[in-house]
Amino acid sequence: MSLNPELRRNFWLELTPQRLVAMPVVLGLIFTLVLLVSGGGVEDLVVPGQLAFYALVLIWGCRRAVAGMANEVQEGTWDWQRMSAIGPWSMVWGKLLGSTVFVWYGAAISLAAVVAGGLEAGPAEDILLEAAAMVGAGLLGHTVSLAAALAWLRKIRPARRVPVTLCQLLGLAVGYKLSPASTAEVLGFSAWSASIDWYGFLFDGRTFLLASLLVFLGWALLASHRLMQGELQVRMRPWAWLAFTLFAMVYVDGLFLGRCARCAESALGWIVAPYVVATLSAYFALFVEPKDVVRTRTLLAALRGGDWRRAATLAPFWLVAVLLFVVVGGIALALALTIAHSWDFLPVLVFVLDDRVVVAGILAHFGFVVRDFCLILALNFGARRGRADMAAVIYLAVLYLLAPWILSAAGVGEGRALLLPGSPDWPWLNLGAAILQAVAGVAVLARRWRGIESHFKATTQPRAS
Amino acid sequence: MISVENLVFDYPGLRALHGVAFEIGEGSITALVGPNGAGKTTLLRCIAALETPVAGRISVDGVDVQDAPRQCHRRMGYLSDFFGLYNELTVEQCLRHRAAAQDVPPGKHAALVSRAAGRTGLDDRLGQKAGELSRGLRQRLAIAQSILHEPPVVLLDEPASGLDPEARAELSRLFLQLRAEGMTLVVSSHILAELEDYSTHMMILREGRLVEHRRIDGVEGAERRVTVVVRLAEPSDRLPAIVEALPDCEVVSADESGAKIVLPAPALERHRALKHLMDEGLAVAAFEELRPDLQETYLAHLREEPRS
Repeated sequence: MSLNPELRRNFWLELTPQRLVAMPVVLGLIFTLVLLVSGGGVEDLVVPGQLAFYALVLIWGCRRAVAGMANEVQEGTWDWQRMSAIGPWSMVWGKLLGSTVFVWYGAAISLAAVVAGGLEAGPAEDILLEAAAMVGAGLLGHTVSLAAALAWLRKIRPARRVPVTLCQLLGLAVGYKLSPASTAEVLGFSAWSASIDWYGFLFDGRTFLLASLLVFLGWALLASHRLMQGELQVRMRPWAWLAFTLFAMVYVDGLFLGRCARCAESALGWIVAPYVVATLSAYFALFVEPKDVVRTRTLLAALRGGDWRRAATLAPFWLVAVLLFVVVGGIALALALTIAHSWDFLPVLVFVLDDRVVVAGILAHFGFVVRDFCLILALNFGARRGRADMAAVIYLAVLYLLAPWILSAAGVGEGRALLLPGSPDWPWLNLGAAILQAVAGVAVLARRWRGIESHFKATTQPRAS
Repeated sequence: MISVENLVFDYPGLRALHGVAFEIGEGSITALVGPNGAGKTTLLRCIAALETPVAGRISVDGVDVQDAPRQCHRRMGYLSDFFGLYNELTVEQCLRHRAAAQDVPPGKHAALVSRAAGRTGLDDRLGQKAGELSRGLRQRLAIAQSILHEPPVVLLDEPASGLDPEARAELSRLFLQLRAEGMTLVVSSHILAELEDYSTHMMILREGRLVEHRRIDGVEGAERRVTVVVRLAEPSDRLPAIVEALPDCEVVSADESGAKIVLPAPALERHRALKHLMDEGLAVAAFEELRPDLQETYLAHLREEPRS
């Protein structure tokens, strides 16, 4: 059996004899110093071992996971790789483990110190669970960093460089958040040892976190694999994003309902978290995916021609995410319309609102989101496509932050109902403004698209002989 | 060996390839020429499955490029005009990595590395790091990487850039050798004189359209005709009349010191014409076939309007 070519290439580059000697010597000296200063036993190595592990794996490792890709793009070797016979999965794991192999070499030494110290200090189960979670968090961070780099390559084409620090920080943030070192609370995760309520079932925090880590690592690997498939020109359909969003809906809903027992008693309460996830997924996909004019034209041509197989391979995942948002929004609306007082789980407004106001609020939210989607797409289908996403971020910041702030400061806070959802005091004004802006957004988008079509027709007409 | 049907490629707001279609036969060397921005690199990258066209079909060695890009890559070598190398690896490591990346069985790596290095004159540089090589040697290493797995099809985008005249001559010899071994090559270059040395076919792209695709190496069927230049050691005012009287001969120009005539290509036909001139008592000093001038053909096409 032959070694993965990417792994072997990285071994040649990363594992030089000098480095293989230097890493244990430096770590050994640090741990010796700690023992000498503390005057204690091996249990004193737990904290410095953890620090060394996280510094190596999360800070350096995430950078290496991106740098391996970034160097290929910058040095012009990426086309060689794309032209090779290496499959997407081999390329992903070869790059992930290959570019970080030296980091893992140091991390293994640090982890040995942590485990040795932990076994002295407490039960073996505790330290082994923690060690497994530390390794999982490192792998997750590296995979997220690599996926971010691949997403960048997909978005910016032809890419001459990859933003290494940005991708590194993304991986670091995700890896740290799901590591035992994290203490900040997000979605019910607090400290490593806290228990977790998921759909009313109480789980040991450590077990739940480790299971979550493994599941998210699986999703991150799938994301990297799919993005690599795209880089290697393998045709694919956007089912993976749909599957991930559905999983995220179920996963987050469990945590949400675990923290809000009253929500679980209401039908609409069950759809709140999935709706939020679907909305975020659509915004995320719209910003991360390329809004490729050529591909969109080809997709529309395939749809018009009834070539569903080709259309499925051309469909961008932002389209799938937007369609899912529409479906989940529709379900939320149907629940609000058909089940009276389905919103009674809302803790504060329950005595003030009636059903019509809730329906108007959901519709208004839906309208404003449609407006935002049209804004992002229209900017990307305009003349300056390279800056479109940044322009969209700025316009959305004005709509959601700056303008409402100014209106509040000017004493006309009710004017906020014209710009953003969530104005129960002015439900009909809010709804009217949302519908108007959604319609205007669709009209602007349609006009932009017609402009693109006529420009293409003008530039691709056969010449008169 | 390479089949392209109705290939359309768009950049945002620009059509780079307009329904390009052609067939390239096995064991040929096709010179892909055209002005900057004609679509040469885009065409090569589409064939190499590095870009996805809007429409059309490409197959290489019977494999559809879009359906099975990785299978095609096993059958193909591609040298990009902006290639890079792993500077920290030695020449041997670069070649070994390439062999592994092309899924060559490990048992064959050493032989293929040695063969590719020998073909490109790098056999004495195997231990040197790629980053320490001169520009010309880097180019040779890149070519060695492209042909290492001995693919049936090799696409080369500006392979001679950065090479000195001697290395270019070696490159021409290498291409002829690869062709003799059965490989099919497509070479994009601006150096037309060089392409003429080894190309069997010429393909001209202009503004994304294929304006010419024909054989140029003078090896074709009995229907083909060749241009022959005749020069006399001693002028004779009978020459124009004599060449006019040659059977199946078209006179391009003729005067008392020489003539340019078009004859059937078979060697026996040319022998008969020469014998006739000698029998007429003319002091023939030269009787040589004029090879088609690639540059002249290319420039003539550029002066024309592109086909719709």
